[in-house]
Amino acid sequence: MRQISDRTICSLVESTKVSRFDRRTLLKGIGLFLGAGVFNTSFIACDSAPYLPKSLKAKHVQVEQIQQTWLVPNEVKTLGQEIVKLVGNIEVLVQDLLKQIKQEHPKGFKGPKELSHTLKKLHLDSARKGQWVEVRAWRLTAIEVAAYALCSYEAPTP
Amino acid sequence: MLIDALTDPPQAGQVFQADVCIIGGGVAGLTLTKELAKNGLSVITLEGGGLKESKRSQAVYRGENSGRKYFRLHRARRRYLGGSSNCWAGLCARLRPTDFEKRSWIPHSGWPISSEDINPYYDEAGKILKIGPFHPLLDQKREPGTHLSGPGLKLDGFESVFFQMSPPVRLGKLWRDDLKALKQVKVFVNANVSHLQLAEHGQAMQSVDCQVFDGPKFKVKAKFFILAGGGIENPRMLLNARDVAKAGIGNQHDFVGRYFMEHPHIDRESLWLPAGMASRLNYYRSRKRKATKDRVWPCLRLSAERLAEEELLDFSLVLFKRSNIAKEEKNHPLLTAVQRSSEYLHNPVRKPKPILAYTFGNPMEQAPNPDSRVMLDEDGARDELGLIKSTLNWQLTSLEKRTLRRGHELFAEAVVIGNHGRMRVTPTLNLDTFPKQTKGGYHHMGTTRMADHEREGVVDRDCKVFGVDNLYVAGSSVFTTSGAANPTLSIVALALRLAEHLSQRTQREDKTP
Repeated sequence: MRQISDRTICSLVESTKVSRFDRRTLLKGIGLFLGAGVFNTSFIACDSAPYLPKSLKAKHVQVEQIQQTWLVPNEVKTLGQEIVKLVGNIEVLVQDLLKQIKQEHPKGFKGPKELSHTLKKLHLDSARKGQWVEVRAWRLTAIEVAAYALCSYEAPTP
Repeated sequence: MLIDALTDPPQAGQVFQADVCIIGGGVAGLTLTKELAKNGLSVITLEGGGLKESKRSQAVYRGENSGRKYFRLHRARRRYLGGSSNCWAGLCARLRPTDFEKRSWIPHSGWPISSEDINPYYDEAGKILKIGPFHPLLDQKREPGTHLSGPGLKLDGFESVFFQMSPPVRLGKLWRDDLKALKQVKVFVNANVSHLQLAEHGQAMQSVDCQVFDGPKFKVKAKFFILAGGGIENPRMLLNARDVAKAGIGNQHDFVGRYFMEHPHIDRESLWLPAGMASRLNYYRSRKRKATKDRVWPCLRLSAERLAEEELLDFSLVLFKRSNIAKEEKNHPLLTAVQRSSEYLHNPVRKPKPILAYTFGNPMEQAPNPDSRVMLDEDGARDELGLIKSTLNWQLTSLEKRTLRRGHELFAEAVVIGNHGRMRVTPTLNLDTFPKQTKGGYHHMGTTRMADHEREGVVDRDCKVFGVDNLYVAGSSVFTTSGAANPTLSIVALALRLAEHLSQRTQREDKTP
């Protein structure tokens, strides 16, 4: 089965210009653009933006709250999808991030700046502790890897 | 006195005599010539090339390469008066004190001398190479003229230091008139040394044989001989002289030619930073200091403590600004995503800023390795003078590989911790082989290494060849370890030290009845 290159994914994601990435929108777009014959091929690429994993479903309220507060641009989601596709044990990292955020802000956030401030603090702590994850030769901290991945998950289906 | 043996040839069989005979009219050879003459010694300096580059002379440097890909040997150095100062870029830096120390993680490291032994000569060496006053670190106390505008990057574990830039001086041209004026000095150009003649007992040099292209042969006898032909020619001359010492002069323990070191360079890695960092990065541009009018080129290096902690070789990071960001973005599809994401992480409401791209070159230290070596041609191919040509087998070890990889990782991490931007660590660095673009810096070191004992090297702490009472070696071939600093400044400093040693030795011996 032919696999769509990473570059294709990025360009497709950037060209959709949607503020909240939606897997179904992308699938529709790819289907229209490439024709129904390659639909199955494109499905592999779209797996990089999965639904919320089962292990995180119990935390879906917190995930949704973070996603709604921290409205991220497409670039963050693109990176998040790449991370989900490439990095193993990502759910463990996300679980850990959710736990740390809960500890820092048990009652939630006032806005994206406050959330971002917390993430930045956790990210720098993570860097100083040497918790590095390599994504396509880029060195990212475990915290930001989890944060970007978290933002790329689709909201859980009701 | 400057004599062109081609236009003003000596008589066939003529014998010249002097206190000191220097073989090679490059940076080390000419420094020694002037310095020894200043101390009242008569000197004969023999330069194989002429006053300008010629194909015929350069051809004597031709050789084979059996190891890593390397420059063609006759293109990697210059064979005319001034030697490789004729093609030198002018970068000067001192060896670090730790370069001289025995480092447990680097096999065969540790000079028999310390930085204290060479430091007194660096200031004078700097004057010769026309660099400004030395200041080891930019963030030291700000004396007039030492401070460069801009704070530079604060990177965890790294320090900002700088190369001092020589104009650069071309010693052959710069000192031509001085050499002509020195009465007790004879500098022969177009005088090719074709043989080093040991005395029958093998413990002293007797003479050197010289050959003029299409001309006569003549001899030079002296109390002392100094081999100053560079890191490839010095071992070649010693290994070619096999009539008395069967393995070659100074080669009783098979060290001559071994431990060849370069400064491996890899100029490809890229660093991406937000445009807001431009003012900090301007700090790393090569520029003229206002007060002292000399040029400096700031760079980054890992602190000595961190190098020891990580058990790495030394390396420098020199930054070059790149203009073609669009191409970079095309080559690295995640570039924009990573950069924007990290910006967003730090400030989600601010508009994204344009990105600046920098490439960094990182000349690094090479570990002494006995298998990396200059040898004589296996098939016995000879140059026009009848000397067996050299074969270079340049080898790198896993330690260089680890330093490269870990050095880049540490830099990438420090850039994130400092919240400066992002750096991509090239995936090819994970492979067993070195990246294709790995090249040398035209620095040939270590092939007649300095050691405490003849079972560890070729020359002693005074640069005298073990077992030969009156033969010395000058130049970077005596370096025990290479450090990450460009070698020219240290070559001059060591030449000054050798000149002082010889002057004192001559005085001592003259007083002895």
